[in-house]
Amino acid sequence: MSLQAYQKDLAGSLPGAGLPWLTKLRAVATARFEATGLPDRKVEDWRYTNLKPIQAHLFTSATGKVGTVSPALFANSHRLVFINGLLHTGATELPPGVRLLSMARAMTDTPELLAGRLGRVATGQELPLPALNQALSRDGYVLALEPGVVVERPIEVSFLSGQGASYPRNLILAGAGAKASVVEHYLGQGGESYVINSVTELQAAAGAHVRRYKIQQEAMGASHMATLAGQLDDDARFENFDLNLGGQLVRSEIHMALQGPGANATLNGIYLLRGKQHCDNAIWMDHVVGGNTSHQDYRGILDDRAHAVFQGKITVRRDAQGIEGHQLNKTLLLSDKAEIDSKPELEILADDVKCSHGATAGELDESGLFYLRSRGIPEAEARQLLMTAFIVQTLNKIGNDAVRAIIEPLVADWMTA
Amino acid sequence: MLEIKGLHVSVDGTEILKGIDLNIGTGEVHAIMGPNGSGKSTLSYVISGRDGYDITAGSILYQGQDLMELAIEERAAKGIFLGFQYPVELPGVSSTTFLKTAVNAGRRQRGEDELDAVQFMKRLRGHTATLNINDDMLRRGVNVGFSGGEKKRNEILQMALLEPYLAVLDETDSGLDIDALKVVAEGVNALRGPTRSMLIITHYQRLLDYIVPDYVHVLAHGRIARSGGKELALELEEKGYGEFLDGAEAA
Repeated sequence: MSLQAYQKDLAGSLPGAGLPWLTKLRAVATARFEATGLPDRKVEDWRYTNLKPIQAHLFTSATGKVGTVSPALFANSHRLVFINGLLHTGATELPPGVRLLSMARAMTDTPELLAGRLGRVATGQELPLPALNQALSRDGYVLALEPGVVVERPIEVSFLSGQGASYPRNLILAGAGAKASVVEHYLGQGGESYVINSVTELQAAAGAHVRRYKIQQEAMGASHMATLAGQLDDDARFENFDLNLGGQLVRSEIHMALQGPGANATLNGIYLLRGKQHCDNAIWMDHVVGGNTSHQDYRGILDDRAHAVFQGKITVRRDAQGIEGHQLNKTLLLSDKAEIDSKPELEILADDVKCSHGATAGELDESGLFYLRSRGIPEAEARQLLMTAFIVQTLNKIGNDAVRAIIEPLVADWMTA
Repeated sequence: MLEIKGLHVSVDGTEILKGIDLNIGTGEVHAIMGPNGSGKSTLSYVISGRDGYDITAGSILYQGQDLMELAIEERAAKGIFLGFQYPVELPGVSSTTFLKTAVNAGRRQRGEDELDAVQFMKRLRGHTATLNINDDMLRRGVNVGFSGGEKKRNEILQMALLEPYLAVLDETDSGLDIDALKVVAEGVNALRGPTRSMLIITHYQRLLDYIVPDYVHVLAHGRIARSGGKELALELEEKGYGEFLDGAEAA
């Protein structure tokens, strides 16, 4: 079945079907995806990741039920729960100046919030997965912060999946000086081969400070595709952290545009993989104007036959003087069958910049292991100490302490599993 | 405390130790001296259980128990300590965390209650001042950015906290100037006692001016070529190792 035919069948049932601008957005996205289809490995950006396994699942609906709703990660969060891509529980008791609602509801009730904003960052580019998402998405979350609003409690969005294909579409609109932390938690509920293809768009106005964390614990047979696309205005700060633990086939893309001076994007991540898991982190950092900064620090530990990919490109436009852009990728290989393909890339057109990139891959230090054991520390504990040491600098960069307190035990659990 | 009998050890198929016999009684301090490449460090590694050291013949009994049956960490928990010639740097593992984990790992294996943070810090403070270990060293990664002297003092700190019954100190004097050597030697001497045995491995006699041994053995070509009292060290200082090198080659 083609996307065209499938989308035509669905069109009337998608939320906001009567809105001309949205109908057009979906039609453009459909045409764009139809023109390329899923990218194959001849496309340079997809050299290391094969999407063939998800092809057969793309047009299966995911409307079934999921057993139980997982408990919240945080005791005090504003929480939305989506099951197989559709809203299950909405958030309540929101502070003034904060809107946090489902995308379907926003399309129906407050389309003026979305018009001209939805799709602006992610769908304007030639990106097949976001186009597919735009064509088929039924739901997701919308977070809109009025200027100056500070949300103290974490915003927690749980995506529980177990079957079919789902296309969450999320939009974060942070007004000038607004501040919030958002946690997207992807959790598998036993299903073996479901597909999730999510898109989160971010527009951060001047001086906004947004933290977004993704905790990915999909089922081990699942395919998790995710795209984050963001624009930062003057002095806006954005911290992103991706923890990838689950999924059989994972692609996590980030497209970040620094559009104002003083903006800072900090994109960090940890991937912990075993079995035959495949996880591809792909980042495009665009310094559109001068005087802004970006930092990337991705570290991972691979066991068994796991395969990780890190590809990241920092682009510095011709007049983007005085920028700073740094990128680091380090991987620890616990097995000689595990593989990392790391491809850092710099494209610098300005002449007054400070940029760096580096990639390393190595094994657990045997002399360190002996040293620890010779002090009475049992081998399993010694290995865990060395693994933790390998990623601790990245963990310490998590700016929200409550989030770090959630992530640290998840990491420790992986190491002792 | 330690009984080594007819010990032969190979590394990658090459025989390094060729029949060692050595008895260390409780509370005794023995020194092993010898030229480079004589097998001194091999002996220390095989006692602590490092992988890659194959015992092809002979035995090592520690407190009457066959050491070969015990994993590295079990030996440590039973009171064997190795002071490293080259202490390993562990970036990202904070010194304090490392020390506390090590102390409690041993206690857990021995069925003792673990120390809480307050109890541990109290013990730690009891040793840091005398060994001239400052808070900055404790905050850093284990041995990361430490000078040669700081690394060796850190080894002695670990020994003090772990309270071993048998301490094997491998070239503890290497890379130290005389002032650093004195601090380290004082730290070692403070830990001497009737229930603690020590095996001091060194190339130079200098260390033995400060840590005076009960017995001295000369290791050459994988065998103990000669044993004696502390005066043997002085003789070696005077004559060098030439006699043992020639003798072994002739044999």
